[in-house]
Amino acid sequence: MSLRIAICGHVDHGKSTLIGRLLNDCGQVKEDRARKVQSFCENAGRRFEYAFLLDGLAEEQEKGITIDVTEVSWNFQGREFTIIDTPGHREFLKNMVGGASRADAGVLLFDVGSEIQDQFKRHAAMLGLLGISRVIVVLNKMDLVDWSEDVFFAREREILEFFASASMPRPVILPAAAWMGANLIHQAAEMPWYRGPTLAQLCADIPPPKTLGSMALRIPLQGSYVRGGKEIFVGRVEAGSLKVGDPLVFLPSGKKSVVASLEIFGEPGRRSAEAGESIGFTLGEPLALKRGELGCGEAAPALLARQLRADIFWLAKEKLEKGATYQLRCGTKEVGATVSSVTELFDSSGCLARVNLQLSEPIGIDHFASCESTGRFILSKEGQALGGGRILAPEAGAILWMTGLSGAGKSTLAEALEKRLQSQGLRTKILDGDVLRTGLCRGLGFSDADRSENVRRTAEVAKLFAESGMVTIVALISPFAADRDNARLIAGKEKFLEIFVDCPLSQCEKRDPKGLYKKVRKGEISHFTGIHSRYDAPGAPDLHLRTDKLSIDAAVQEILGLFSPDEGLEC
Amino acid sequence: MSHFNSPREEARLKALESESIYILREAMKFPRPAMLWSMGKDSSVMLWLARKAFFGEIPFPVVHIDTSFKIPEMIEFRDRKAKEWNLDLQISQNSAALKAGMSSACGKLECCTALKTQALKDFLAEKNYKAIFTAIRSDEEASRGKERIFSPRNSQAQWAYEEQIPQFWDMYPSDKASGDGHMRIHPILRWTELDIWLYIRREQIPVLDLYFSKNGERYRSVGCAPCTGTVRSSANTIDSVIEELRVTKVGERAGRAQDQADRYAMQKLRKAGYM
Repeated sequence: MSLRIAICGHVDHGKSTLIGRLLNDCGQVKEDRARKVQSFCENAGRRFEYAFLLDGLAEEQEKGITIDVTEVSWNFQGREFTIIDTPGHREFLKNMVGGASRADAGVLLFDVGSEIQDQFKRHAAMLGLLGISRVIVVLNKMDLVDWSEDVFFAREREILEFFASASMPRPVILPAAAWMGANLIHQAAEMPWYRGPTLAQLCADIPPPKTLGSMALRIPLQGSYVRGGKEIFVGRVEAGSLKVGDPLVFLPSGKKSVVASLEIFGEPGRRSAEAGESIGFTLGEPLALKRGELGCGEAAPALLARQLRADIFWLAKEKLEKGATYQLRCGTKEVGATVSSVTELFDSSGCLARVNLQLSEPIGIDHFASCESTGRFILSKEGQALGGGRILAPEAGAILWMTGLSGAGKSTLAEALEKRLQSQGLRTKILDGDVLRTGLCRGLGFSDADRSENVRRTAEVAKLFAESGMVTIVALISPFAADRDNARLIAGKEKFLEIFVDCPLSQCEKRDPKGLYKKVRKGEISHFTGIHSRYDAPGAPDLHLRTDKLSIDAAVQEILGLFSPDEGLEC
Repeated sequence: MSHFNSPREEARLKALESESIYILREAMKFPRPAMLWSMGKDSSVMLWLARKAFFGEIPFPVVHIDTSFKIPEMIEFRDRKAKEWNLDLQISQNSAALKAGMSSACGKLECCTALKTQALKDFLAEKNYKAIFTAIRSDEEASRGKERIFSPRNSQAQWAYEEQIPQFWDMYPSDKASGDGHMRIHPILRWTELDIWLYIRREQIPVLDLYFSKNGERYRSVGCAPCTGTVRSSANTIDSVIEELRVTKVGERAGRAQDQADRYAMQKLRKAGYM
């Protein structure tokens, strides 16, 4: 498929002119369109305006600006490109972002004779936010500064400094004069001091977008159709591949089944489909699945999230405000999303921000860094998009405090959770009560005072781990509410999530994984929580898990949903 | 002359096909969709894609806006395929304007507005369709180059091209965005004329004979008989049409008279609700 390049930059820095000239110099302009522009320009008594080859609206030609996005095909050295011309005006930013959102690479135009303005920075930041890491900066209108090497290098240094300060990947920078075609296809004779590649050559050298086939399967469901008595589910494979016989799990429902057949009209007997294909499939057992479910390979499912931490772009006239609720769409799933906090503004006009969102119900998501198409979302109102964003990975450094009776499943959950977090590249540490009592807390007994001290020490250690950026999972009975409150205080600035691992006493006793209940009944142990000693069930835990009703997988999913998007504390 | 698409062309067609099928299926969120079919190559490809997207049973009506000036061969083709593909074919005509004598002699833009735009608007109002698929392509003509995949029209079917709503990635707006109007949905907006023909060859899609050269001339774009001209061409097979398109410098709609009626003819027509 063609490589898609968005041309961005401030108004009047020469975007449409550059594209028109590029096509013209490659002989890729249709004669009748060129003739139309030529006769118009002759009548108006002006030089041939390459920009009009793209700016087709009457208002655009009359005002000499680009209002909306145009896409054109361009071929160079046997490679196909789609060039996306985007508008530079602040008021048309929404059109620019829409166009750039479909790009693989970006060309940022900059009038070499002007100062670096907000709009340039904004466009650069937008490209960064959209995940476009390959950026070519064209310092245009070199003819107006007498092809000066000094002007070019001074401006280049400023731009490199700006990109570095914004933690954006270093762009390639070249000098050009677009309307004359200088350094577009042909090396400009006027600038013998520049020996680097031309713009066309730089474009030709961009590596193809990475293939998504080797990733874990993600297929957001668009719907289903009954044909010939079979229910066919439809969607596009966004990542990975899908094969007959593959076990799938769907989020948020958690339903599981196996792919029974692939349904692609006109291609009976297909056994597998790759990323990018719009397909249909049937399942081994009939499941009621609605549009919005995210199909995943069972071995590596997406995350189930109820809160999101995200970097967003905001394009509406109304301000993005804390407490406001919008419609969020990720994949094909739509839910309500309330802005619980706006933590950072990257842009003076408020169009780029880091936010925390609280969702009306859990949905299947990925972090943008691990899967782009299921790691991004749009926010809308009245059916219209107002902004969009990408989902950030959890910030490392947190305490997940699991409290509950002996045998409720704390250690089991902690281990399963650790595995999942580590698979996401996070560093983790489990602090297990039984283990601590053999070392750090050796010598403490089971009196109320010793129990409090046991919790206090554990909290202090957990804090140290969290501070060093580890996700610290505490599996500790911690029976008294006052001690747990104290642990939260000790955690201080570190994130602290209380998870009530709840299971009826009778069930815990039946499980009795360490044989403790048996010993209690024989009278070998005293001060046992739930039997001799009280357990204060948490009044308002961050998460309440009924382990007698949930599978381990489902419980882990719930914790990830609470935890992965990182927030929930400062809202 | 090659009779097969190159691997790169195949990869491109596969990606375009997948995107179009995705769009068609996304549109099923809308209440009451319908598809416009002019029997031209583009809308025939769109119809073919809809048959693929919905496994041979298109779950909405297929509409022909009949100006009564269509080339007779087109009508024969329409009725034959509608039967073969089991289409819910609906035909709409502005009979009042026809009765009053409307034709291209009254003015090309006036004629298009009455017999196509008005006929479409009346039809939408009468049947309350909320989403209409049309087979426009962005490389056809400048104002179509500015279109969105999902493009809302107000209750007067007007296009607010100066103030289009944002669209990111492929998360398209819902029916709320078109309010009491309707949504135009453009499943093949990003296809080029060459893509269309490469796909016709790959899929063996039946097309009108008018596209193939007779006596040194062929239709490159097909509309109403009075306003559609032929181009000089010896291309009399799909293969030779493809070879011709690879080298031509002539625009596709050069033979469409309404485009030449005014410098911004299509923009004006389309703002008022034309396809």
